[in-house]
Amino acid sequence: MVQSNEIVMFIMGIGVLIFIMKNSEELVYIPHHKLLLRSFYVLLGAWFFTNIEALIATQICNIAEHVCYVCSSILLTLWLFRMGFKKEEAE
Amino acid sequence: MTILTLDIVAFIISTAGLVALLWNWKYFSKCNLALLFLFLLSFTLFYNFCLIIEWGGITKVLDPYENMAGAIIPMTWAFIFYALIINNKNTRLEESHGNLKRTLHSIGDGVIVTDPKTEIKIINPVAQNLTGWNSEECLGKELQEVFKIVNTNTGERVQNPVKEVLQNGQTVGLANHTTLISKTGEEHAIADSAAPVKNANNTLIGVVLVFRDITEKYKMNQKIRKKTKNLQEYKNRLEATMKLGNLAWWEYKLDEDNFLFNDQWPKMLGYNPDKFEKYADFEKLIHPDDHERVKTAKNNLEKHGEMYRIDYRIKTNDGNYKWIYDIGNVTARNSRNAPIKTNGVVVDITDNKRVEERIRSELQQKQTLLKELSHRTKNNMQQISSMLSLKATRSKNTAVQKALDEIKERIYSMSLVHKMLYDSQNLSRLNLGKYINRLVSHFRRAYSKNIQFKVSINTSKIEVLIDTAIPLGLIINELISNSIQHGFEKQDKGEISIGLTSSEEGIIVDISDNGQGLPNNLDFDQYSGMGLKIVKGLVKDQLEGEIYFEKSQGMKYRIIFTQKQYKARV
Amino acid sequence: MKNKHKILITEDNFIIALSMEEDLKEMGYNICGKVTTGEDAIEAARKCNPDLIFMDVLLASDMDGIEAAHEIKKFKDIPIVFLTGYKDDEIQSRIDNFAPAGYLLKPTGRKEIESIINSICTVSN
Repeated sequence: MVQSNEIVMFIMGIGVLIFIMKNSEELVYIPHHKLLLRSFYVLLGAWFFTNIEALIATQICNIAEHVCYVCSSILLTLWLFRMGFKKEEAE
Repeated sequence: MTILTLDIVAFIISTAGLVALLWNWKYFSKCNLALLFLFLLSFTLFYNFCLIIEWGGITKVLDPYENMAGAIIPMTWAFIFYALIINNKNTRLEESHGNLKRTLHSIGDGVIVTDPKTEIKIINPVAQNLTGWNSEECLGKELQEVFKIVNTNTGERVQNPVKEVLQNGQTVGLANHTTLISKTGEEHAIADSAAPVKNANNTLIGVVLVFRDITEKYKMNQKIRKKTKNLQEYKNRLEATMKLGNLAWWEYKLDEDNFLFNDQWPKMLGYNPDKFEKYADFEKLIHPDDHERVKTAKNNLEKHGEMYRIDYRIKTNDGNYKWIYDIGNVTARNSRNAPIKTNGVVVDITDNKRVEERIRSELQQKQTLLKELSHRTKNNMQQISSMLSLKATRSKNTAVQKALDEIKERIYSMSLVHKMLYDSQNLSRLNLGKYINRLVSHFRRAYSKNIQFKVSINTSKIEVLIDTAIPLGLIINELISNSIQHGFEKQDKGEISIGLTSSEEGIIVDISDNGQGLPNNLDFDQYSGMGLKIVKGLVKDQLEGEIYFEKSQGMKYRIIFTQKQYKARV
Repeated sequence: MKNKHKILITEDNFIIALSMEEDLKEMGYNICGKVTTGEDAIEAARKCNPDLIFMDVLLASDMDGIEAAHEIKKFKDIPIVFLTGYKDDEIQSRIDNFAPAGYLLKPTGRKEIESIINSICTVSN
């Protein structure tokens, strides 16, 4: 059962991905950009999994989806920490 | 169950992220990202919360909000990325801007950037310093108002290179002799260059003018030029002088085995200077007879540091030999005091040598001549003597014979002077002691009577000129013959003493006999016999001396005179 | 010129001077002086006022015969006969410059002395 909002989410996520790819040069200048980007990629992955769980390997995809949520949060938080505290050190 | 755990974990971590955000709110708010992230995290948290509740099966009432959040989240991410990009761009721009400014400030040259209308956009501190204008004062002003340049030599106004760049669109290089006049009237010699600033489309968007104060360098260059000129002049002068004096210099560096010399030396000898490189080139031209001497002298100089002074012959280009005087000395020693450098001068003394030779030969000739003269004079006198002898033997008259004999004796005393001069090395002076001895030897042979002659010479070093010897010889001859004839007239034997001494009063000659002396009734001064008259005249007029006589046991005569300085006649 | 006429002899060689004196005395002249230097000659010329001077050119003094002759000529025009034993171009030209009454080459004999005196006499007469 594919939920409409989930697809919308996913499609919007793809849109953001395209945006990312177009501006990949600029994004490199973001400090620790890899962390932030990966956080988003993983989140996108989660949305991917939540969409295809209706089609194949429901349980696994479901677990994968939620794992992805966790990983995304971790990465995002890490980035925030890094940004915040590193700058403090630098100052 | 695991799903729920995962969701809870996600929730907790997101919360932690929120904490981090809030903790560093000031920093994030600087970048304008704080709100966006707050937004994102809030919705993410909400979404996570909904997922947890969903699993807990609590309610489905948050579903629509969950869906909304689900749509908002990716949008927020998009916004975040966008904002981050913009932010970074700005930061980078600002940073590079700041770097640029700092770079400009730290450049040691003056930098002025103008727009195409020659209005000043940027002026760095060095430029401000040199032009005397403050940044605030001149921004926006036209360049020529601030940047006043003139020609260093003529003082005429020079067009600033910026105008040229604007005309041609090409970089204009450094101009020579430009002086910048500051706002306060100070002058700085500068070197400047201007280049166009073009944008990505190759349109001219401005000109950058770079200039530097080269006053010091300029002054230094002037000094160097002057010094070089002076040095060149000095060198020319030296070379010309050496050439004039027919001199050449040389230098030998022992440690490097390097022989240096100026062109004058080979030129002096008529050779091409290019053919000469080392000392050996000169050495082989030295006259074979002088080779050893030169080698020894050079050795002494280099090994023992003895001054090198030697004259020798050296072959010229046309095959002849020139006389060279070579002088040298040690000019540098190493730490062990061994010579490492010698310098010297070479002088052409060929002409000098010729003159020397000529003088020597002339002197030789003169000496030979003088000797000849003495010899001939002696011979002539002997001839006269011989003629007298001949006449005497032919005469029957004893008085005539006696007279001639007397004259012969007088002649002998004079010719003996010439003979002794000829025999000695000295052509003008005669040893008086030796003369008297020889004269007396002659008397011993000449007089038949048994006369004892005693000679005492107290000073053997008296030397007299011919002008003194001749009269003295005559005087002695006269007095002795007088003693023999008159003093020993009635005797068969007797004794005559002759003494020679030197004192402060002068030269003293004593002649005495043990004869009968003068007849008692005769006064010496009145006695005008020819012999004594001559004696008195010679002593007084020629020798300018004095004669004393004493009549004790026989006659005693004492003659005192001083050696006169005769005018040189020859 | 004969008899009672005074002659001054300037000669630094005594014997030659003596010989000349004897010759002149025999000829009947008066010898008013025998000097050996130029300075003495000038003084003697002043004092005894001779009628003729025999002057040796090379003397033993700083002043030679020719110089002395010049000095004498300044105050009295006495005929002077030079005696030279040694002549070179310089001396010859100086003698000519002075233009003496005559000159004799040493060694001189009586005959030469006589003839030169005679020639001077004929000139002055």
